[in-house]
Amino acid sequence: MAGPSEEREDPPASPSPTVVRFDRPREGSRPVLRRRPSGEAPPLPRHVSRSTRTFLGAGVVVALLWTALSTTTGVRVVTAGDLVVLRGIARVRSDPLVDVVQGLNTLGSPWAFRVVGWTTLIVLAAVRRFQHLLAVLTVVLVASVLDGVVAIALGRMRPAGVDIVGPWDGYAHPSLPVANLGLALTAVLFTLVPGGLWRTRAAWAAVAVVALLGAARLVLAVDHPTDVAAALVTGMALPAAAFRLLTPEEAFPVAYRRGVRAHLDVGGRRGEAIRYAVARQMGENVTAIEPFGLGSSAGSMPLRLVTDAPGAERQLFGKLYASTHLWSDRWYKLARTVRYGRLEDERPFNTVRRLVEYEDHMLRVMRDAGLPTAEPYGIVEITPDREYLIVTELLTGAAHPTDADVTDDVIDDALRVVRRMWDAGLAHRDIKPANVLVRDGRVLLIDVAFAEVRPTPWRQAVDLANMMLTLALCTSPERVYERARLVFSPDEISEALAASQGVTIPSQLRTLLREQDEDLLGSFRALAPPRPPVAIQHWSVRRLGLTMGVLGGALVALALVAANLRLTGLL
Amino acid sequence: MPRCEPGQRLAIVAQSVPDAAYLPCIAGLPAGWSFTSLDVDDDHTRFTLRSDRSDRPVHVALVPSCDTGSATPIAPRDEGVRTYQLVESVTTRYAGRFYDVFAEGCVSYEFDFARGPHIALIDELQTAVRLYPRRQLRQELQDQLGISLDP
Repeated sequence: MAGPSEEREDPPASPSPTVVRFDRPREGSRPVLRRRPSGEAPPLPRHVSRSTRTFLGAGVVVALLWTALSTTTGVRVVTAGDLVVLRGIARVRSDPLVDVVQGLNTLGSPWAFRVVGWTTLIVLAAVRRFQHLLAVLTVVLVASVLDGVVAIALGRMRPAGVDIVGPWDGYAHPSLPVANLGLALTAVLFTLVPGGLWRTRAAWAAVAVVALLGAARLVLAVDHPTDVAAALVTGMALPAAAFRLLTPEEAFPVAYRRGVRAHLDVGGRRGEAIRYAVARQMGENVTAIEPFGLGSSAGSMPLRLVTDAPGAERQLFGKLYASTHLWSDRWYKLARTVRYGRLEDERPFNTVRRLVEYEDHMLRVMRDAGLPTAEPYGIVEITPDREYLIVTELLTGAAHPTDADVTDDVIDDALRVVRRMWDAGLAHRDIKPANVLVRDGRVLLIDVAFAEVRPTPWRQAVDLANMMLTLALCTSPERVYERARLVFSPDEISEALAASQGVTIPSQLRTLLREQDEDLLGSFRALAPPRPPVAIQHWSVRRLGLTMGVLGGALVALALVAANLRLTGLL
Repeated sequence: MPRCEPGQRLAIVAQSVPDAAYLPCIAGLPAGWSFTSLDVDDDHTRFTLRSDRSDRPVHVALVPSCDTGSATPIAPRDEGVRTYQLVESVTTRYAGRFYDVFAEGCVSYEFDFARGPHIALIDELQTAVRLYPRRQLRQELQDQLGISLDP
């Protein structure tokens, strides 16, 4: 690992504000640490695609159009232009053409919107993609409210001075049938169609369908051209930008294969950015990046980094944290607080930076306390405040206890690890087979993100119970209990078992316990001195407030959903 | 809300019943009255007014024609307009309809007031909703916005 006093590269004469170039060092040579100068782009600048910028630009143009339509002069000028186009279309209009476009105009009926809208909502609920479901409800609500408010505020009449040959309803601007169909199809595109080629093809098809409807309405002279144009922006362009913001493909991919999780893509630009950042900030030349242990991680993106350190290739472990993980952490902690009460003392992090700082800090506290955890190497900045990588040693050659030979020495070592945490005033808070490793007969703890300094006695007792249950999965309660008596007093063991209840056991451990023929917790309790259960449902003002807030929020959300469905014509 | 002034909000009312000689509009809402909904399409215009002294709204509709049935003619509200009144209840409530019938159109006012405040409410309704001549609107739209109301 490069130290702070090593050779440093001079900053470039004219830093580029946006382009990150990474010239790979020669094989076997170490990259040079380099401070990012002021004004230079971070390794992975926040990316706004060209099409998103175009959509947002279209939104600005439409806002200017609305400003114009709110003035007498603007109405006169815009309407004059609209009518020139409509009169031109009306001149080539024929009865057969009108018959055809009247058929096309049914695409804009409320029923088309209802069928597409409800299908989208039902499929999203069925496949349990609730982020997408929430995004659809939010975007549809906001877009519908926007269209409704603009329609009422401008109060635009239908085209004048030209024969209207189709049905119409309400104010003309923006064209609500076009906006609603566009909105429904955009929701389908971004929540049901997998990203990539399929979505691109589907997008063209959706644009074609909505354009046909728009063209039909111009032929029928029920809308002005600017009514249709504004509807395309409020119904498709702005919702598309909103879906990209609310459910970015990299964090919420649309996929129908089982087992796909919301992990980040570490190829492409992000992969290059990670290589660049690790090289410049840690002096390590990364030659390969691959997901690692995804199955047991939902709160971060675990990675194995292969570096070509001089003389020998070595592997590092990285945990990539992004804004989506921060939100997951917030929801998880809110749920735990509501469910468990004040004993958990959960506080959400404000930023990704704080989240990674905490985990890195806990790794170092654990290490300084002599606890066997992965050696922390530091934090790498990928995108300031939004994306960071925690780098530690990769514990090669280690296996989870369920896959390892768990001897009495291993049991003793695991129990001593808990004792050491107690002595150091620490709690791991997530002890389960996935977070315990065995290597050369010694126990290692990983994933210390939830660890706590000076936890409650209850929380420490739960750590012991969970460790005993984890060990008993691979051995027997009797054997673990006997070894535990060598490290803990009978009272401490019975306190741990009294503190252990369903909700205190991590879900992975709970699942494995259910698969056992024997009730391991019951067997432990039969061995230990009797003790009444330690109550965990401790109510506090904070918990009460949070619970009321959550219930109130849920009711408001339900009311909003109902209002949303009614307002948008889905009900 | 289609106010009794030249503008697109009144123009779309005119478009809903082409050639109707008069258009219902809001001259001004008396104290306690509110405009609650507007439904305008290629066949009619309907809007609803509500008074804080009545538990039921007043529905005003512009349609191409009305069946006045047994309604009684009363003093016309405007030149070229025939006004009718049909009272359906006078006991516990004062309920019924007014009709303003004119060339190519008709405006109906459906009311159902509790007895007592109904006299004042009827007066206020007739003050709030006026008839705007289409000919006048056509000329004003042409002058102000350069828009020809009718093809």
